[in-house]
Amino acid sequence: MLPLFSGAFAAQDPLDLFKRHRYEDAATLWEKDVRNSPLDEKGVRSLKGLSLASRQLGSLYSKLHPFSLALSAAYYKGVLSEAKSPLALYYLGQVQYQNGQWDSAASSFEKAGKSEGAKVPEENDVFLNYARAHGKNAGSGSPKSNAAQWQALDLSGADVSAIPGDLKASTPRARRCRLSILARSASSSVEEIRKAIAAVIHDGQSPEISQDPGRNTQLNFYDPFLLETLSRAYLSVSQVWQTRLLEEEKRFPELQRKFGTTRGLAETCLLRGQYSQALQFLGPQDNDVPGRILKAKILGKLGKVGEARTLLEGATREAKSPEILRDLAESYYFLATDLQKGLQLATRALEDKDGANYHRISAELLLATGKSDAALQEYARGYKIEFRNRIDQIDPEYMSQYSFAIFLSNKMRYEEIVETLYHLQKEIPACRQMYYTMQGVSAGAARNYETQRIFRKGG
Amino acid sequence: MKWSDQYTSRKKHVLRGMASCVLAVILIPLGILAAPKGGQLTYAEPILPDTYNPVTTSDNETSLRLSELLFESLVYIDYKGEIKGRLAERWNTFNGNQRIVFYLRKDVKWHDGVPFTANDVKFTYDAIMDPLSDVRPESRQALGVIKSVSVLGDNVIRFDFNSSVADPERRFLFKILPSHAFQGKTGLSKFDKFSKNPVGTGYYRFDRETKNRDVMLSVSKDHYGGYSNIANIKMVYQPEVTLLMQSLLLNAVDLVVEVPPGKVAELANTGKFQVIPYNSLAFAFFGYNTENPILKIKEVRQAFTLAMDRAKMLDDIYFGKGELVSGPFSPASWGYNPDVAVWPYDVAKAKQLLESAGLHLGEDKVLRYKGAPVKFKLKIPVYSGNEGGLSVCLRFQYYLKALGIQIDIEHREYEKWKEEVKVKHDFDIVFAEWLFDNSSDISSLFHSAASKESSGDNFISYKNARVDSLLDKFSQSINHEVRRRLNYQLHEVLADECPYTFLWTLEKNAAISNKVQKVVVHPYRFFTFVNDWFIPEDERN
Repeated sequence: MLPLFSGAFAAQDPLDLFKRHRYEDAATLWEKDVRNSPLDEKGVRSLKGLSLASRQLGSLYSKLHPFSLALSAAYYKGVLSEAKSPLALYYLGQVQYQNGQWDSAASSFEKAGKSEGAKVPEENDVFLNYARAHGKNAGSGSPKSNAAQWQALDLSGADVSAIPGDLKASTPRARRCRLSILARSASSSVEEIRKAIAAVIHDGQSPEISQDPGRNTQLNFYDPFLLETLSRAYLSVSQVWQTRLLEEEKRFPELQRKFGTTRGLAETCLLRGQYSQALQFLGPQDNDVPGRILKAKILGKLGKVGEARTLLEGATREAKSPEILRDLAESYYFLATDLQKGLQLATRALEDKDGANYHRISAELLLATGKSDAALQEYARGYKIEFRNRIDQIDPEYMSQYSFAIFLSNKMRYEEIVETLYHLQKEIPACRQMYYTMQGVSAGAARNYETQRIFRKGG
Repeated sequence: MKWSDQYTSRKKHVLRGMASCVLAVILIPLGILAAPKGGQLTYAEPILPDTYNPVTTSDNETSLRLSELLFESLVYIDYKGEIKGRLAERWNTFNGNQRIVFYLRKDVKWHDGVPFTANDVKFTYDAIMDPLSDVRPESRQALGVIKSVSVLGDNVIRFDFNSSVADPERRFLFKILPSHAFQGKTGLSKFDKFSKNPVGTGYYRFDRETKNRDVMLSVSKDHYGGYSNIANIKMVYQPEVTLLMQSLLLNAVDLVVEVPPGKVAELANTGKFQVIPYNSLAFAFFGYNTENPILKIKEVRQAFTLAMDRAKMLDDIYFGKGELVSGPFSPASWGYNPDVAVWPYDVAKAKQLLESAGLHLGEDKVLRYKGAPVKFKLKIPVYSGNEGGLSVCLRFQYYLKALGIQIDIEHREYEKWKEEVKVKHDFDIVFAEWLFDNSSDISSLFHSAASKESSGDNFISYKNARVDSLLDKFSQSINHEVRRRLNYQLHEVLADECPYTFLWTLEKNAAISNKVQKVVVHPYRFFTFVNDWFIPEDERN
C-alpha cells in the first residue's frame, strides 16, 4: 500500500473511499479485482475505478504544482532578502526555470555558481546552460548523456534503458527523475511506475538538502519538480488502465456504452500534453456538445485557437444545461482565452445550479480577470465552512485552489493557508514542502515587534 | 426553503448582482459610486472590557477589539500585508535605519475636537515607557530600541534608535493617546478616568456605556479618511453563549465574533449569515503550577498527558472541530514543528511513569506521594451557557481518577479566576487558552525571568535553562528562519517537558448577518477594516 491517503480502509467500499477523496486507498482496493485476465464484470468496473482514481490524483498534483512553485518562489526570495544562500538561489532558479522565466533562472543559477558558501550541486551548471539556451531560442540545446544532465532535467527520451549507468540512483532526485522517465515510457509497467511513485512520495516527506548555515538555523530544500512528476506519473498510470479497459470492456457492451473510455482517453492525453494523440481518440460519436468542447480544448492546445473558438461558440449556442455552461466556461479558462466570455457562462451556470464545481470555475475566472475579492467570495460560497480542511468532505483540489487564491490576494489570511496545508500534508505527504515553504513565507510576513496574546478561559 | 424558492432567490441574487455590476461599470469611472452610509451594527461579546485605554489593556479581547474602533496608530498593516500610514502621512529613515522621522497628518482631530499633534505621539511613548504605568512588559520591550524622541514641530516627530533597526516603522503599531486627556501625566492606570471615557481618533467615537454594560459608539464624522459607512456600532454584553446565539438567530445582534464550534453548520445552513473563518493561532491547555512539589516532576506531567484521551475529548465535546496540538503553537503558525508527535493515549505508560517518579498506587486505589494521597485543585471560571470548558475539566477529573488522583474542581467568577491564577498563583492546575497574533513569540509564557513578574504570563513558574537559552536567542534574532528554527526546537523541548498538557486548537469562525457587506476581518484585531463595511439602505431596520 502506498503511503498516500493511507487511512484505515479495511473492509471499506472503494467507491465510498473515492467519493471521500481517498483515491489511493480506493485504488489499492480496486487493484485486487484486476489481477486476473480476462476480467469479470466486477473486475471491469474496478478497472474503470482505477483509471478514475489515478486520473484524479494526476489532476490533484497538477493543481498543487503551480501553487507550490509560487510558495517556493516567495519563500526563497524571502530567505535571500535576509541572508546569502547559494542553495536558495539554486532552488529559486529551478522554480523560475519551471515557470519559463529563463532570464531570471539563468541569473539565479549564475549567482548560485559564483556565490560563496555552501556548494551547489553540479546540476546547477546544467540548469544554467539550459536556461540560457531557452532564453535565446526555446527548445534548443542537446542533452548530454551524463548523470548530472539526467538528474537535473530528465531530458527528452522515454527509454528507461538510456538512463546513464552512473546516475546516482540512491538519491531522491535520481529516483524522482527515474519516475519521470518511467511515466513517459510506453513500455513501463503499471507495477513499476506505482512502486516508483511510492518511493518518490516517501522521499518527498523529507527535504532533499538540509543546510545548516549556523546561528541556530536550518534551511530545508525540497525537490521543486516533485509534484509535477507525480502528476505525470499518475496520469500515465490512468492511461495504462484505460487502454486495458478498452479491451476488457468489449465483452460487456452495456458497460462499454456507459464508460465512454475513448473519450476518457482523449481527456487523459490532453492532460498529459499528448494533443495529437488525444485527437485520434475522438470519433463521430463525439460530435455531441461535450465532445465538441473537448475537441476545442485539444485544438486550442494544438495552437488552432480560431477553430477552437468556433467550436466553443457553436456549443454555447446549443448549450442548455448548467453542466454544459460550466464546462464551456472551464474551457475558456483552460485555454486562457476569452475569459470574460467564460465568466459570463460561469455566471449563467450558477443561476441554475449550485455546487462546488460551479463556484470553482467562476472563482478561477474571476481571479484570472483580476477580480480577486470577488474570487475569494465565490470560493467561499462553494466551500462548506463546517467541514473546513476536512479532506473527507472537501475536495483537496478545491482546498488547494482556494488557498492559492488567498495567497495571491490577502496576506492577512496567511495563517489560514498554513492551516490548510498542514491538513493537506498530513493526508498527502508530498505536500510537506508546501507547508514548509508557506510557514517560511508566513514567518517573513510576521514582523510585529510587540507580541500580542490573550490569556483566557478554555472552552 | 423549498428548491423553487432557492432557485428564485438565487436568480434574484444573480440578477441583482448583474445589475449592480452594470451600474458599477458606469459609475466607478465617474467617481460617484460610494457605499451607502448609515445603519447600526450590533455585535455581542461574552466578556466585559477591562478598560477602554488601549495602552493599559491586557488579556482582554473585548478591549482589544473596541480599541481598534476607537483609536489609531501611526501606521497599520493592510490586508496585502503592506505597511501604510494612518496618523502618519509619510516617514523617512536615516543613517541606515538608526533614525526615523514621521510626518503626521495635519487634518486629524481627537473626538473631543482637539487637534492631534506630535506631542500626543511623544506622550504615548513616554506613558508606555513610564515604569509607573500599568502596561504589559512586551509593549515596553518593543520600544526599548528607542534612544530618544524629539518633537520637531506640531506634525513632525523624530525617533532615534540605539542601533540600526530592521523595519523601524513596524515598531509604531501601538495606539496613540491624547496627551490633553491626561494633562501630560504619564503614569497610566487601568482605573483612571480615561479608562471609562476614552477619546480617540478612530473611525468611531465612544458615546456611553449603558447600565447593562453595553457600549454605544457612533461614527466620527470629522474623520480625515472620510467617515466610516456604518453610522452606529453597539457592543452588547452577553455572557450566556446560548442566549448569544439565540440573539443572532433572532436578529437581535448582527455579529458574533466567535461562534461555538458545534453551531457553525446550523448558522451556515440558515443562509442568513456569512460565516467567516479566521485564525487567531490559539491553543488550549492544562497548565501545571510547577511550584507544587509533585507537579514540578516532569514524569508526573507527562503521565497526566498520557492519561487523557484528547482525541476523544475533542470529538465528544467540540464535535471534532479542531486539531490536536503537540506543542505551544497552533498548526497554523509558522512556529509549529510538524515532526513533533502528539502524545498518545496510554494509561499503562502513564502509570509506569508515576511509579518511576515515586508515586505509588495503594490497594485502596489511591495514589500516594511520600505517604500522602495525591490531590490537586483545578480552578476554572464559572461557565454559563457554554458547557464545553466544564466538560473538558470533568473529563480530566475522570481520567486522573483512573490513576488514583483526586481532582477538586473549584469554580470562580471570571475576573477572580484570572487574579488567583495569574497574580496570586493560587492554583495547582488550570484549564485555559492562549490566543496569539502571528509573531509566535512564547517568551513570556515559559521564560524563567517572566515567572517573577507580577501578573506575568509564566504563572506556572516554569524554569528550564535550555528553554531560557532558546527564548533568549529568539528575542535577539530578527531573521525569520532563525526564529522558525528556534521555535521548532522550543516546540520539541516543551512537548517533552509538558509544562502544559497541550490540547487542541479550535476552529474560529465569526458569524455576521448577510445585511452587512464587504466584510473583511483581521484575524486578531478583528475590526481593522471596519470602515469598508456597509449596510444597504433597504436592509436597515
